[in-house]
Amino acid sequence: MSRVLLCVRGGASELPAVAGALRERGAEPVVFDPSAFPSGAALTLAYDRGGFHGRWADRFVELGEVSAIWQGVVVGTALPAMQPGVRETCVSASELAVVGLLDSLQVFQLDPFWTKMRADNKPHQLRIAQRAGLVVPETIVSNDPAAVRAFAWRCGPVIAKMLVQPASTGPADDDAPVVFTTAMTAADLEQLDGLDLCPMIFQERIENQRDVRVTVVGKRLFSVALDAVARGGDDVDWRRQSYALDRVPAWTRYELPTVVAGGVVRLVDHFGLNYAAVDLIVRPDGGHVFLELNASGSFGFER
Amino acid sequence: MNESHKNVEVEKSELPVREPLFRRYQIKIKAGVRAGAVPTARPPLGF
Repeated sequence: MSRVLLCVRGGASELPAVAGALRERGAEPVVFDPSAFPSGAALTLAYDRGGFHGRWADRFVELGEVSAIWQGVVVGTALPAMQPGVRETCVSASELAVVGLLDSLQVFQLDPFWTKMRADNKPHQLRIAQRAGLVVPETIVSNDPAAVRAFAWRCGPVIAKMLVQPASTGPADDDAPVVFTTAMTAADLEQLDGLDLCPMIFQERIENQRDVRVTVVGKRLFSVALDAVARGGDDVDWRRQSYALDRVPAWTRYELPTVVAGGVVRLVDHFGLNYAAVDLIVRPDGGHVFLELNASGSFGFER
Repeated sequence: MNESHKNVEVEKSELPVREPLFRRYQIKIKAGVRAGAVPTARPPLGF
């Protein structure tokens, strides 16, 4: 029986479905929860003249033992609070150890960590999306307040979003910091102190009729849409209200125009991904605008 | 040697604390929910 290593967060809602699907196909799922590492699980990688083996908790992992890997490496969520900089070092070292294990097994990965890291660079995505024939919002990535004000003066309403989400500073049972996409007010544009310390992404605000999430698996696309009016209002980020209200968004199946689908596939192919979640907006005139690609985006949106 | 190290520590603690802009927009969400992922109350799998 072939074994497939599922190296994903134990609480991932997709995990039971993936494990079940593997069993149905006669494969044995082997689950390693990287979020438990390092404080809740022991990992040892051993390299010698004979090759390589790893030990995760009480289980040996040898070359040839697993035939494929599904990975979403998020480590260190159980680490205690530490001095600034110390926790980040523990997380970085732990991440490299787990990725070292996965890469050393030299089997198919959905998808390799470094492939996903490269693909998750949002500025790079915009350039590749343009080349793939997708429409992108007018954008600047900057730590210069003057450049942001000039951009807003030229473009009109703008939104701000992050290049990367804030790092967690404490254990997983603490609330997690997050920055949603935010519509900037005139007051926000006046108050840009601290931008010089950390660049952000600023984009023209796209008039939104629908949010579209495209889940890409190989060459297959599964698209769903969320009616912007029905989800309740003007917020530029559907996640804010969904988190705040703990409310199920009313995603419905969506037919992506062929020309847009082609652009999405070219984008994902460029990065060498076998899986991706792509976010777009549909304008009232029916035009589709690419927002971003998430190489580790969740799936299971469709009802 | 120890004295000069001590002085450096004192100087560091007197540095003004500056916050990056994103902290103005940052909120806290429930534990266990990944930023950028789907909300806790999400559609089920299998459809």
